[in-house]
Amino acid sequence: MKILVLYVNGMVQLPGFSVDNVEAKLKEYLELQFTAETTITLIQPDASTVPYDKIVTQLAQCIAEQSADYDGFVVIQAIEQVEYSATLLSYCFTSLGKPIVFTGAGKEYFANESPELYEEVGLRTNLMTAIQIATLNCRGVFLAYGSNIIRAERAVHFPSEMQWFMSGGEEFIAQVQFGIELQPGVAPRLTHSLQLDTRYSTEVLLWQATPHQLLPVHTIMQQYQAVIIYGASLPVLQPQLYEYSMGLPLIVVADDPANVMQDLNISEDVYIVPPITPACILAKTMVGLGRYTTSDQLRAWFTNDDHQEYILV
Amino acid sequence: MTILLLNDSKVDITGVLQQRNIRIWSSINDVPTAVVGHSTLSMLERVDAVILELSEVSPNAQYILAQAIILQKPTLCLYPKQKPPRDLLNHLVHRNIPKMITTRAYTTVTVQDILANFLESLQPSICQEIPNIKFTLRLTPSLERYLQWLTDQKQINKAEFIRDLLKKQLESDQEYKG
Repeated sequence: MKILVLYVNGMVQLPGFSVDNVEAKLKEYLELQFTAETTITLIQPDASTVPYDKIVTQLAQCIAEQSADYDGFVVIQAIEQVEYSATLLSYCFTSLGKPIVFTGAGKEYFANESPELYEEVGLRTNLMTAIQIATLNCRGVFLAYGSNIIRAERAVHFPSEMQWFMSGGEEFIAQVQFGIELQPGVAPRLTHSLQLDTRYSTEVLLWQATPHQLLPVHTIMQQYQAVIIYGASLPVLQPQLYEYSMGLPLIVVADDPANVMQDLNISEDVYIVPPITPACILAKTMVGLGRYTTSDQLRAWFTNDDHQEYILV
Repeated sequence: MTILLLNDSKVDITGVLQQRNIRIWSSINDVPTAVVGHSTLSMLERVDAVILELSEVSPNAQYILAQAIILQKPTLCLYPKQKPPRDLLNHLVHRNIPKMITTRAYTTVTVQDILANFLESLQPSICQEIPNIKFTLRLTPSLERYLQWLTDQKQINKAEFIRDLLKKQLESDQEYKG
């Protein structure tokens, strides 16, 4: 098995690491594993100032160019925004037959011990786990931080004493116990070629709905191409949506979308979607705006559940 | 002491470890629920050592070996003398592998000694005495209930718990040692 390891960021913040020695350190870590032949590519050794969507575009292009040469891909990225990167990357592929596994150091691991030591230990163990998963019979984009392996489309960053991510509305695709075994039903590899479409828009506002905040209409009209209202419920929505006339796509994530659609006079610019993680609806909206121009096309896009991203009760 | 054991061969490693009252985890069914829910990276965090029988080098065995090296768990890699895992051994020879990772060729004659030496290196007192003297202890109902509760909490059997109590008493009894 041949695995491509793409380093984005996260390691240079650890003590003893720098932009100059990241590659050497990774080589040292990867020498321990016996499962696959690995190659390292540095995407952005110090990517702290680069917008995550630009990094995702580079990742997608790099993976697409080399997809025929490798059986799987591991992306090392700092944990803070990884669910946003991973979901956007997932949508950039219109056809993905191999696994892409995001991993890195988890912070605040073993809070009572030396954090610097255990961030490195966590990075190395997570990296071994990610390499192992990238060799298994699965396809898609996954997160491997800790012992619970999650699909990117369901990942919610929720640091607890033991783990860093929750899986929204879905079991983990695998757990690290005595080795790693995929859960039944995980989508297997496909042999067809990878297809890429990196068109997206970044001018999307993700708005947490509250009873007392009005949408800043003027600001939205100037700066954004779409608005996502998250955490919506009928009593909160109604005063704002009856007045909605901005002409921009308004995506409403509702716990009970059918109920919302019956009670509101929905314009063609409003798209009601079932529960979904914030990172996923943001990525889905960005990509939808980049690819589609008409409300019918957008409606078909938001209705589509090919990524199994909606958390259906 | 708890040891993670991967053994798909016919060699009875389990019996040798059980004689020494070592807790063995070979599958998730052996692991207490409380431990499963409190492992950030893997079960390896919660064991004292690892024994891998490598007649067949599975991907999972390779993965566990890599994790054991990172987590610095004493690890014994056993392989049949007539069937060494050459690729794996060559790989280990050419890497800066910590000394706590040992590889040993075994036969049915030598395997017990190899295991005893490995366990001795972990905790010398484990191998010195095997409990083989039967002792009947009668308890009152309330004491039995308390003993049952204690051993449920500590996830060890009653005999082991009582032996541990006596060992601690022995270690602190200066008059006896004198």
